[in-house]
Amino acid sequence: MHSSERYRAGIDIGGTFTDLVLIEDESGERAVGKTLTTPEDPSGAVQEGLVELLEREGLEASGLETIIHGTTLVTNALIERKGAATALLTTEDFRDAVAIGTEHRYDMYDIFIEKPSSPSGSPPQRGAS
Amino acid sequence: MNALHPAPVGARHIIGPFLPGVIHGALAQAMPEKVLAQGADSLWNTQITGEREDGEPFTYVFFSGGGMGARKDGDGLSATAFPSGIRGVPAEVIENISPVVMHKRELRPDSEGAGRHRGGFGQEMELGVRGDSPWALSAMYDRTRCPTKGIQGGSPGGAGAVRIADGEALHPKRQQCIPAGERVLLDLPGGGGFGDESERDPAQVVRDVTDGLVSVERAREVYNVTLTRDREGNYVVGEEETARLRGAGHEGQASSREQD
Repeated sequence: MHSSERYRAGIDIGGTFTDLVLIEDESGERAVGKTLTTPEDPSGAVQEGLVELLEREGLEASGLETIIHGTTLVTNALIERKGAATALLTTEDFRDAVAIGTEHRYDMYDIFIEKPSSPSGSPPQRGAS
Repeated sequence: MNALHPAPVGARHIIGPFLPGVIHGALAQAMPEKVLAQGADSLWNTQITGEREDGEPFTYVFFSGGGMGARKDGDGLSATAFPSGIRGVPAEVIENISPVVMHKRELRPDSEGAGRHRGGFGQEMELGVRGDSPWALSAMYDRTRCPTKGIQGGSPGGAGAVRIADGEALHPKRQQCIPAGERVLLDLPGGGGFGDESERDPAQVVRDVTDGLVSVERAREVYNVTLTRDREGNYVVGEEETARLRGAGHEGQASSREQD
């Protein structure tokens, strides 16, 4: 990449790897990097990976116009039911809004389906009213 | 089921969905592990006709499901239609596009058919219509007189009910005028249970009581599980009393079988 140009970074913080892409707008030239995600502080891998990628490409951080990042960590935490203890506050008399959902069976012809447990408790626990 | 012209027909959402349950019931005699106990089956379709606050007439209909029947490996699904594949409508949507107001919509406690695996819970709803005009409820509900049956010794679920908020019963299959400002209560049926309720894992009974879905009294009387609270206020099984209740239950059954 030419060090004189302006460029952007896109970063995806995944459950295992943090992927980085640098793109130089004018030429469309691209460079990619990959590093292990640091779950205890996801920003660690972002910083480490970005510095490494910039050094490899011989670029100055001052040329970065934009950094955009997204992460699947939140989605993963929800799917794996990990993370902090949570509670769902609802309007009185609507405690089961999430449990009832749209009353839908996701597989029409499997009579033995199980619905996923609520992220706010497994199973959803209704507080005393 | 197979009406011939010119026989009058209507409310097919009530009749048709009963058919799979009947077939499951027949198959249950030969292969209970491959079928469901009875569920609410017919949909609970609520049709409301009235006037908006600006005098414009409106009509609105939404579908709801009661509890599904239990099966060999698990509990029935709560508030889920079977065999019909409907999607229910959230209260927020109903209230945004019609003058109907949902005052309550939760799972209906103690409506599950007890069993080693319990049936799904029905729903309870309380609804009204904004404005100063009376409105019409076209009730098209079933399982108000014939609750869901369990299989393999499982118990029936709670029957459905329709009434005015002050307690007056409404007809489950008739168009009825509801006075302005009055609310209607719907109790949707629960699903039937699978297997003997005194064989239900006490930990699952604790879970349902903790969730506020089964009362402490029902846990004791129906499931033979006594509950106490620990120092943190969590429900725990009263092991000794539960063992005594369940032991007595089994001995009772054994001796009654011997007498047979």
